[in-house]
Amino acid sequence: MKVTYYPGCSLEGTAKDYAESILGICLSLDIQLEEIPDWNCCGATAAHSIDHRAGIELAGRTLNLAARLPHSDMLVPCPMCFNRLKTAAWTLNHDSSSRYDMHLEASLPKIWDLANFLASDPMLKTTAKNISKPLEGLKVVSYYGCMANRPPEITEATDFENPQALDRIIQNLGATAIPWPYKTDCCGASQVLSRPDIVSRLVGKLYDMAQRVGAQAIVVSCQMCQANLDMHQEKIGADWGKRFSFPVYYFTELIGLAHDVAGVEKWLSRHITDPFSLLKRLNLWNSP
Amino acid sequence: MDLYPDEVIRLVIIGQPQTVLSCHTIWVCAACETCTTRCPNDVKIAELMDCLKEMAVQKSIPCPQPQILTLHDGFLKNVKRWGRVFETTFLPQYLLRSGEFLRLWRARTWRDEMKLGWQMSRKGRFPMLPKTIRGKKEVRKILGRHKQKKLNSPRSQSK
Repeated sequence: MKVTYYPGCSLEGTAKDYAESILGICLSLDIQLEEIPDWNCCGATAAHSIDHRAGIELAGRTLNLAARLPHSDMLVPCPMCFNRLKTAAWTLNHDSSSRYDMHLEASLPKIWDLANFLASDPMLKTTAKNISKPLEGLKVVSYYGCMANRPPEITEATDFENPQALDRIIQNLGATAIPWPYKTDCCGASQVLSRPDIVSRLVGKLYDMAQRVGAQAIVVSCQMCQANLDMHQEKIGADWGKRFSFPVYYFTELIGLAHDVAGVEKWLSRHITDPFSLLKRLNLWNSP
Repeated sequence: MDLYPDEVIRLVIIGQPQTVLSCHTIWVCAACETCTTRCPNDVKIAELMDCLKEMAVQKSIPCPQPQILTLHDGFLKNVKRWGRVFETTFLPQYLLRSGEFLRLWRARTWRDEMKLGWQMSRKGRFPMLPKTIRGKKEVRKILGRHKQKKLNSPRSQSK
């Protein structure tokens, strides 16, 4: 299957682990990714905060480039990019479009959040077929964050208060997704540089609940959530007077692990909080 | 947060721009969209917060959370430069421009931040070179419509 692909800026930088794991599993799932030629930044939080028109048109430019590729589906791994592209498509297709210096091509591909795409029935079947190492014994909570689901009129999510995509993928791999109430509670990633105090409160609350429901790790589909939850555990633990040590895996890394894809070690070694010890303890890691 | 979101909406309705445009609330909103999603009256609260931030910037109203504005401004400058965000220069530039590094220096915690940065680059998460695009001109045109506001220095604003 060939699809259009929009990686987004951070997958070329700090989220290299996510990017590599996507390329790795797409080989094993027989998905060929065609990157949009000359795509630009979606504008992210900065644009929609202080330059609304730029936010719509930056994403609009990329959408028009995507329209030139022949594929009917477009995969977007970064929920922020996904949200901005969906917002631009919605805005430019509705009555307010005359306010913008841009017209959308008619033949846009369907914009998919990567996790939702891989949680569709046919993809779950293909994923299950290729499992060589079921992730038995691994108990995790799935954490979706904000942007893949909200606001639902933009994202077209139907289960936005209790999303299931990651849970279905995790269970499909043989691991356990523990139900918990903070799946879509904001981790504050957009403020991590400017207001780390707010982030400590928001993320500490997530760790605390994950600990209480008995999770061994947190599984995410957003590189901002991943960085935010992975990088400052010691400091946030100190703020909370607790010790937190949660590996924060991308769901794609877990698929790669279950499929025994080459490169898993390289992806995981880019994390800050030790992702290996838990897997070793559960006999899910047998590397040299 | 100095005003609750419903207070922000009410002040907009009764016409008190000077209060809403200079409040902290519009800036500390993390844009998680929970309120917009759940509002029983279909008020687009998060979108309204964005609109107020943009109006405040256009009217040159001093930002009560200067480091947040510096972050957004630096991000868009970086996109203008390359067409995509190049985190390797964006992050240290932010730390210096916002006065955040100075704060860390004074709090004697700058080493932690440096250590994290060093760890990240050792783990290959800060590429050496930016990936620039051919359509930079288009991107610059899109980002160039607002006249660039000169940001006051963060420390003079943060009283």
